[in-house]
Amino acid sequence: MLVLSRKAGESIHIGEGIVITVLETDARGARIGITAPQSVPVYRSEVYERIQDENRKASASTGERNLGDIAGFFRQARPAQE
Amino acid sequence: MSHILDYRPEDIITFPKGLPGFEQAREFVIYSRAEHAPFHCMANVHDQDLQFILINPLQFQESYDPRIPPHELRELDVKDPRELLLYTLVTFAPELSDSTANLLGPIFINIRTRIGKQIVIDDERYSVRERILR
Repeated sequence: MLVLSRKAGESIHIGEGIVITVLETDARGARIGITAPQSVPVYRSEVYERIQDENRKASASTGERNLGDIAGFFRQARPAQE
Repeated sequence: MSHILDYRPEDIITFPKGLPGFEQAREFVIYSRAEHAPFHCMANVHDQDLQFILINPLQFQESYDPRIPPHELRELDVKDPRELLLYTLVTFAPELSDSTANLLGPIFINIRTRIGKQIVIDDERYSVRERILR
């Protein structure tokens, strides 16, 4: 990994059109500004990891239960808005 | 669900990159049955044990308005907003009333091209575990 030191207000260019700027730093962390082309997805790493993790939980969450029974419970709890 | 999936080839929805955590699972069929409303079942055609339960998030959170990066819509080749379906994945809790849906990873499906994508949204208004019932 390339490691660079930056102070608040200083930037790093990556390739064409991507600029990372350190806006401010304090004891809680750093605020980072990112300029990137619209075609480049930008998100915090933990958001992707949370979605991976939640997808795995979601896929197994019906368990032995019958979806018809589960759906019946939800229809009773909350009138359908369809 | 029955153990033999019943579908026609044209029913298949392709997720070119799979889903986060299931990158190899690309071909799914969605079953929408009256007795399963408000849920839908999305089953993998190659591994029928791999199923996701979907709900349209607008059914429980009318104000849901994710900011979708424009290039994501281009990837889905959307020509008309009406050809786009929106779902979220449901995680049923042991106590059903605690069940949640993932509002940071909405699923978009273009019904014309039958291409699907789970879009990662970094939006502090929403979470991966949003309660379906209040």
